[in-house]
Amino acid sequence: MVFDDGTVSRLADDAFYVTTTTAGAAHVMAHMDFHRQVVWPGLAVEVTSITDQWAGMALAGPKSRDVLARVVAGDDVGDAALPFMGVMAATIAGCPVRLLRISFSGELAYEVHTPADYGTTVWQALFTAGESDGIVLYGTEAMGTLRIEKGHVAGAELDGRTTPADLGLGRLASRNKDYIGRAALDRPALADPLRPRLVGLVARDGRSPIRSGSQIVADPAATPPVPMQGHVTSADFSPMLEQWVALALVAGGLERKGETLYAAYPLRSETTEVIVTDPVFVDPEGRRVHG
Amino acid sequence: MPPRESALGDLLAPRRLGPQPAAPGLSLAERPACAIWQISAWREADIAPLRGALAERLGLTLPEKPTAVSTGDVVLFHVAPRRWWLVRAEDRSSDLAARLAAAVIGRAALTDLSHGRSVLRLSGPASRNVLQKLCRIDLHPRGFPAGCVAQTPLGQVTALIHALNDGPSFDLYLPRSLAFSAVESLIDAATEFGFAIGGQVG
Repeated sequence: MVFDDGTVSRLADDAFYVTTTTAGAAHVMAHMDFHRQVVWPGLAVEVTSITDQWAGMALAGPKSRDVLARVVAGDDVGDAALPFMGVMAATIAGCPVRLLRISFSGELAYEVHTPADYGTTVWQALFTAGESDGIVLYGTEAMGTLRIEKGHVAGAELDGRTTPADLGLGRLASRNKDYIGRAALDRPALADPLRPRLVGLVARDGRSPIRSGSQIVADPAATPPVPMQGHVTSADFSPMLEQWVALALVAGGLERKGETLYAAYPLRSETTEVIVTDPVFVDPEGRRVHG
Repeated sequence: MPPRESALGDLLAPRRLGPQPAAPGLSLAERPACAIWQISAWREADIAPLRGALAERLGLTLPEKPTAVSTGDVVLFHVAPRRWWLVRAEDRSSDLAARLAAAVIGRAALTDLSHGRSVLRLSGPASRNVLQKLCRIDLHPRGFPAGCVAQTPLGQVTALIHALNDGPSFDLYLPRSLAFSAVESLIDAATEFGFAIGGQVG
């Protein structure tokens, strides 16, 4: 089952820089430590938590490359020099930084990492450089909306019961090599096509809210026990689409695209008629992130 | 390079707390801008050559037990199986980092943790009492004399505690992102003893 998500950057032939979610960091570290100490003790490999060593910040949006170029001393940060998913060492305001062109926001964006005692200096340099372009701060609430609009899974979808295929991430799992968990994924229950799988939902009337935790049913008027088709994992009002959008795990997944279902929230006696959509609501071709 | 910013903000603004006899029972100050390198030997068989390389090229002694060994202004801690920390005051003109990297090549991984810890020095007759309120290991000088090193929770935060001398005096290495909270706990625990906060030690 998927238990966390993050990034891996290759810094050298034999050195990798790994990020995880905050909540999952200890679990991922313990997973790695267990395998290197118990399963493969003969491998020469060390893992160290460097969470406290680095300050990380995200610079996102169509003007992020321009702002970055103003503060990065000497290096070209254009699309060819720093492509999507690229990593580069650079200097900002005299501080050593690591640039990762990746972002949970789904925008053209960069993560800027610097040793923690330089964090405020680098932050201030970026903010000052962006003032003429109207740079603003964005926090975790905004990030939550952005990632739902982009169909990026987070804790609500990584609930310990979902496989990569359930989340539409099956293509990330290699077909050519072995990996921890590969055999387990072949178990019949984990390959069952009727498993709940990630879809998007919008309200049929284009304005009703959809609540996280809603049960998905085919007929809200049916006599209980009503068969559950799935549940809503994440929902928010999308400023881009000007309506509520939701991510949900629904039996049969995207094969039910276009179908009408009902999101029932008995705690508030609400039922919303919803349509099954693709989970990526904004920029599905990824034009912004590859810009 | 710009100056390094402490995680503690105004928390150690110079002041006195608690009962004030002629001399305070203890003092707490930050050791700013330390350089910390973690040395992790790849295998048991790499330890002896590593020890030899550090002795020959840098004049440094790798401790065998969980103790600290000082050579000049460099301290080496044994922190885990096959793992040590090298600590000194940061010196940007020094080539120690490059010489260290050259000395350990093929024998150990080197990881820079210089910004990853806030380092506090707690000194004075009551300092052992304060630490004992927050941690569960036995810090009595019989069991934890000068030179001893332990990693243990201090309140809710795992700290590396280094007994410096029989003052007693201790250096506390706290994860940078939790240091503010840990130091607040220390201040609360220390107030009853009469306490001088602030300043920096080299």
